[in-house]
Order: sequence, then structure tokens, then C-alpha cells
Amino acid sequence: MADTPFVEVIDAKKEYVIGKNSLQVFENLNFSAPDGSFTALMGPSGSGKTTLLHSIGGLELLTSGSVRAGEHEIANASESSLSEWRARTIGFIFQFYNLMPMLTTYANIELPLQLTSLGRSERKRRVKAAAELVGISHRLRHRPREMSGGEQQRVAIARSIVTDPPLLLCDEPTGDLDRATSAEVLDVLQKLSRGLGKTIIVVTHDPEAANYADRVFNLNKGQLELARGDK
Amino acid sequence: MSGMRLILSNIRYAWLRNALLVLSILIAYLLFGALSAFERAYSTSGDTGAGRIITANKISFTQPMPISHFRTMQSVGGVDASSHATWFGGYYREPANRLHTIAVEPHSYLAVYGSDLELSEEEKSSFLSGQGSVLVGAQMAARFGWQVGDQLPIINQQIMRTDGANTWIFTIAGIVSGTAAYVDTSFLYIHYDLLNEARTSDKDTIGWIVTKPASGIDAGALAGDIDRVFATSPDRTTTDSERSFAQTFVAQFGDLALVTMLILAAAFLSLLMIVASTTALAIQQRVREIGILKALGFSHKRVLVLLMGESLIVTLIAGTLGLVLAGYFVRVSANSLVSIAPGISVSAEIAAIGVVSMIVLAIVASAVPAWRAVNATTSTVLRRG
Repeated sequence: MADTPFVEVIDAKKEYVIGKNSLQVFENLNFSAPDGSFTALMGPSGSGKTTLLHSIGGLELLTSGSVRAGEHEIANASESSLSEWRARTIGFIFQFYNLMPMLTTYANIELPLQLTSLGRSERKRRVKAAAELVGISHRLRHRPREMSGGEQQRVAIARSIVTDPPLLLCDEPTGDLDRATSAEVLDVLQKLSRGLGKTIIVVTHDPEAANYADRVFNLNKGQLELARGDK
Repeated sequence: MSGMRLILSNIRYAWLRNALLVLSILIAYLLFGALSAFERAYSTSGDTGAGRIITANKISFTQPMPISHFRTMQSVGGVDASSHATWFGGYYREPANRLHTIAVEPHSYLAVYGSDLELSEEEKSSFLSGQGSVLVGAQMAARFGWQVGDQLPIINQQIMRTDGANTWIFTIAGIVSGTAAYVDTSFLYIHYDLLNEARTSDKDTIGWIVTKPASGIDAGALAGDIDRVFATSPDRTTTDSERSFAQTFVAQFGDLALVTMLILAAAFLSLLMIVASTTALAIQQRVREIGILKALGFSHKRVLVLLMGESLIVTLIAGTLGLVLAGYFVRVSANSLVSIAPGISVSAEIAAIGVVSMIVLAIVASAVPAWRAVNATTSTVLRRG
């Protein structure tokens, strides 16, 4: 694991304004994730873990502060350049898998490759390699509703890595899975971090899931504290 | 997986909703194609290009005029040929078989309309030779299976005969085809003299006079001249083009052009609302999928293209099918509509207007919901279970 921060959040403030009321999620928050690290973000519900994760991925914009991931500064980016950067740099994994219900496993994994200029044979090779890596090759022709939660999450992981992005953002990836399946999914994530050098940030409630990470942060009442590992 | 395959997968996945949407659009474009074809054919009906003009009673074309008007007209300058005709009607065997029977002065009528009718010399002389001889249009003959030489008992309960009978027996002298698409051959021509001698009332009256202007004579000016001749007569006249006369004739059943346009407008308004609400609902149900695409790096523009492309493909498939079906139905029913909408067809122009309207409809119906969905907060959508 290199010490260079791949992700850097500086003086972040996030506030939701609903009508005349405002809700401050966090303020003066600083966070970094070194290149190739496996980081877990823990904290009670509503503490802002997912908001922070989505801000890193450019799905939400901070009220103030800056986010940098790789060479990209998110705060001032246009929608189109943010989309392009996201396609190139980030793989998202969600609690509820978020697969396209109308597509087969193969087509779901291939979906992000639509945004690349890769030829058909190269796409096929990448889809098969990603499916192989997460152990879902036998389900390529099935649709999400025909698979278990664990299998769907494996498909989601394969989809997130098929473009070979350096950063994986995982929002409660095991939140909807049983203990044994959770362990299998987390093994895959750990393999991606240690074997392929992916920078991984996982939001989780589950201490056992956090045990797979090299670094664990706690976010509570707007304060982010390092619970384990190197800052 | 290309964008098109993604669109097609979406369409297949929501097959029931899309099938119902396709059906709605198909029916609307079936109506559009058929009614537009009808409206155009009807609007140009009677437009024979022959330049003939029709003189009828100014009160109404259903009111008879004295036959002396026809004789007087011979003195009007600029007339190449003229003839007169009188509505006879009647039915064959049973009231449902109503006939388009017109009593004509045979020699002059064939002189005026000869160029429209395909008739052998033998049939022509047979028709001219006997009062009981009739000419039958090819469509009417085909409808009842009549042949040359057949005896036709025609029942008419409106016109009283001097002998008290209401059945008129005729002999078919010839079966006539039209020389152009606008020629209605669902007619039966009988001799005026036979009618005039046999009826008890309205003797020596006629229905209308048809005039063919001489070469170089302006039909509009001639019409004015004719009406001026009868300006002081108790039976004043109104003279107009064949086209106006034909439309006035059809208008007795109601303003078909207006009714057609109203049905078209209602169909399209309903269609727009159906497509817009279905598309809005469909897109609203797919905000999560849209959020996933955005999280994967699909730009707003690309997602908009996918959503609007889907709407466009469904509308184009359904609308084109509707126009093709309209073309089929119009072709099948062209013969039975020839009297009011001759030459009816779903023209290339109607098809082009249809396709352009499909594109506009698809864009209008999907643009706002797609734009709103694309701009929805992705983060919120993706957190939901």
C-alpha cells in the first residue's frame, strides 16, 4: 500500500436545506485514503457515512470544502466531465446491488464498457475475467431475479471492476446478506485490494465487515475519528 | 451491449406496458391514416379536371327545375355541350339495396360525360335505342352480379307511376367502367323520358343541368352568365363547379370534413395524453435504473438519449404499423367509398406527416419526464431498498 492519498477530502461541509430548515451532516471534515488502501467507514445511521461516500464519488456535491480523487477535483467539475471521470475512475457497489433487472448477468457486467471504445472481443474478455474473479461465471445468462442476494452482489462487484477503475466505493455491500455470504463478498473485496491494488472505501455498520479493512474510521455527530490503522 | 440493445432490452422487459402503449398509438395512427386519406379524397371529390359546371335550383339541389331551363340554356353563349339529370333512386329487391339511379337525357349526357366512361359502340347504341335500356356502372354490376341483357326490377316507392305500380323493369344495355380513378361506377342511368312519361307528379321537371364550357371559355364566367339568364325566373338557379356540387350532395349527410377533423383532433389529443402519462409513469418507475446509469458514468445527455430513444422507437413502430394498417383498410374499402371519396389512398404525404408527428409526439411526451428524472438526486435514489 502506498502512502500517497488517492482520495482527499478537505474541510468538507454538508448541509441539507429543506424548506426553511437546514440539517448539517458534517463540518470541517477531513479524510484521506491512500492509494491501494482498504478503508472502512463506520458510524450510526444518519451520521453521514453514505453522504461522504457519495460526495467522494461525485454523486452528491459538498456545501463547501473540496474533494479530490486521483487527479480530479470534484467541486468545480461539470456534469459531463464528472460522468466521464466516474466511468474511468470509480466502481460503485451498493447495499441493494442496483443491477439492471432487464439485463442478464453478462449484460449487467458489460454495461460500463458501453462508455469505452473497446471492441467486442475485448469487452467479452473483460466481462469473463471479471465474472471469473468474483466467481459468477456460471450465471452469465441469468437475470438478477433468478439469483440469490450474494450472487447479485458478486455481479455488482464484477460490474464495478470491469473497467478496471482504481477506486471502489462500497455502500453497505453486505448489509442485505447473511453472515456466510457477507464473508464471501468481503473476501472478494479484500482480494481486489491486496491482489489488484484497488483503493476501496466501504461504508458499513458491521464490525466484522470492518475487520477486513486496513483502516477503520468512525463518523459520529459530524466528527470523523480513526478507530484503527494508519491515518 | 450497445445503447440500442439497452433500449430494446428495456422495451422487452416492460412488454405488457409497451404492448398496450403500442396498441394505443397504433389505433390512433390507424385513425389518422384512414381519416386523413378520407378527408383528402373527400375534399377533392368531384374535382374531375373536366371543367364541367352544374346548374341546380337556387333553393336546393333537391328542388326540381322546369325542363324549359335546359332548353333556354342552349341559347347561352360559350356552351360546348350540356345535358340534364334527375334523381331517381329506388332499390333492388329489398330496401337495403338502395341504388344510385339517375334519369338522364341519353344522347346529350353521353356527349358531356362520354370521355369519363368506357363504353362499346354496341352498348352505346343499345342504350340509346330503347327507353327501357339502362347503363350500369361496373361497381354496381359487380355488387349484384348483373350481366348485359339482364332484366332489372327496380322498386321505387317515392315516385308514383300513372299505372299505380311501383316496380320499374329495365334491361341492361351495357356495363360501364370509368376512364379515371375519380369516376364513380356505382350508378345506374335510365332514360329521362321513360321516367317523365310514367310518373304522376313533377312532370317536365329536372334535377340539375350539367354544362361543358366551350374551349377557351372561363367556367366561372359562364356560370355567372347562366344564373343571370334565370335571375328573374320563379325557379332561380345556382351554378357551380362539379366539385362543389358533389360536396353539396354529400353534405346533406352532414359536414363530413368537419366531423373527420374533429375525430382526428380528439384521437390525437387522447393519444398525446396517453403517451405522455404512460411515458411519465414509466420513467418515474425507473429513477433507480437512471440513478445506476449515472453512478456508472453515463452522462445526463446519454441517459436522455436512451430514454427519449425508447419513446421514439415505440412510437415509430406503433405509428408505422398503424399507417400500414390504415393503408390496407383504405385499399380494401376504396371501392365502396368511391362515390364520396374517389381515389382514396394513404399517400406518401400523409405518411410523411404521420412520421414527423410521431417524432414530435415521442419527443414532446418524453422530454419533460426524462429531463426531470435525469436531474433527480442520484444519491437519494440509490440508497432506497
